[in-house]
Amino acid sequence: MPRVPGDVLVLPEQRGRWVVWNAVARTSLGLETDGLEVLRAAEVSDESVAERFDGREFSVWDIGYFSNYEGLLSDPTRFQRDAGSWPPPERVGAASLVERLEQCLLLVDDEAAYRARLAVKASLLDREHLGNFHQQLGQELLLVHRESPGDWWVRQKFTDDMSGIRDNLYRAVQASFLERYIPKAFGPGQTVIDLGCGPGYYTNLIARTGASVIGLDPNESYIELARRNAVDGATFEVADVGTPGALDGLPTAHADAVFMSDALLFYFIPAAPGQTADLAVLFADVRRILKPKGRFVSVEPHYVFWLAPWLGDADRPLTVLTEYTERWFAVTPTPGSLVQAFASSGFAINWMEELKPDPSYESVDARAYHFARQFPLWQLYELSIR
Amino acid sequence: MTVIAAITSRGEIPGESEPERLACEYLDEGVLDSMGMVELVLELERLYGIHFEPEDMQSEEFRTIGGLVAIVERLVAQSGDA
Repeated sequence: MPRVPGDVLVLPEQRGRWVVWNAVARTSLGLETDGLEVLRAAEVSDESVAERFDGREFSVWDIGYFSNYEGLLSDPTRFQRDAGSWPPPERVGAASLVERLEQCLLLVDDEAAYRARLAVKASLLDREHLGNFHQQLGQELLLVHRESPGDWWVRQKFTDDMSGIRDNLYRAVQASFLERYIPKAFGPGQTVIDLGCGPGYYTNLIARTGASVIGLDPNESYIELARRNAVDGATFEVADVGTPGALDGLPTAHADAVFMSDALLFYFIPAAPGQTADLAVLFADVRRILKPKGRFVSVEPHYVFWLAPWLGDADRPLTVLTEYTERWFAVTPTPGSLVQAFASSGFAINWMEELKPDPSYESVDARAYHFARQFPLWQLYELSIR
Repeated sequence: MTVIAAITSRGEIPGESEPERLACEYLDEGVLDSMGMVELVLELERLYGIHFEPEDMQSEEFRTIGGLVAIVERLVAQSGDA
């Protein structure tokens, strides 16, 4: 017998419309109230649907889309907001509405098959399993848009000339925080290593304080970009950070600080299969290159709220957590695993902070602003060698 | 250059016989990695003047070498009709 799985939430939308949304799969359809009646009747039997709704038509809106194609900091809820702007609905009979509900995992006929779908993907071509966010994004980029994930990542974060951060939550939370933090944390005469520096935006910000910074990243095209935009005091090298021997070129106990941003998460949940970078190797290298009183600064996507759905009213957000201990979708470590990793590698935590958005962002995107204010999207750790 | 040759230039296709090689799921069996697969698609498009639609790349057929050959043949025939 088909069943509406417990993962499904029905959200009120304007104009008498409802969003029927699967919180785990993040799939959805827009319906009117009569469509909800079909959904419940389908749990009784096909005959019941046919008997009650024979000859009638129902409005259905296909409002689901891979919203994070626009960027990692776009609304991760994956349905079109603002029911008033939805395109005209399709009008379908009850039987085809039931079919659509099943396709969108809002009605489930085979419970075991549905549960099996929640697993990680076996490969890029695996459409059976929902997989984690990295895998879903990889499929969207490579199979649908045929875009290199590296190029996409730069495009969704930086302005076209790489001189600034796009006006999204990267800018409002991470960049606005680091623009205040970096001048206080670093200064002339210091040697800083930026591990996983990407195209070097924050490396340059650190160099502008007068510090001498080396940015290292395994991605050659990022390093090429970084070198083109390098400011005085910033140098860049390709290095397979986190693999044995990769940082052997850096002397022991010479760095005043090691900085890492948006890079540690990949050591917990790899972005692509076959990753060889290893957390124990990385942390051993960080300890080796730091001076005894050196600092290790880590700014990472928040372990709980990164990519959590933005629900509720724009100025009074709520979210739902569908997983925490066992991770299918999430790509960040839990607080427990991150702190354990720091502690077991011999680091002491001196400071921890959850980043808040700049208040000026409220007028740009109220929903994003209030969500990020209530549910932090990045966290900062300051560590030292114990 | 055939589809098979384009794949072989990127990785060795396992299998003793032609049917075995055509049944090979090249991604799962490690003949190509994800980026290699995308490069292959771009090369086949250039070579044959065809365009893979997202539906082609998400189909069951696309997973095997034989299926890929069939998709290319179909797209070539379609582009001839146009």
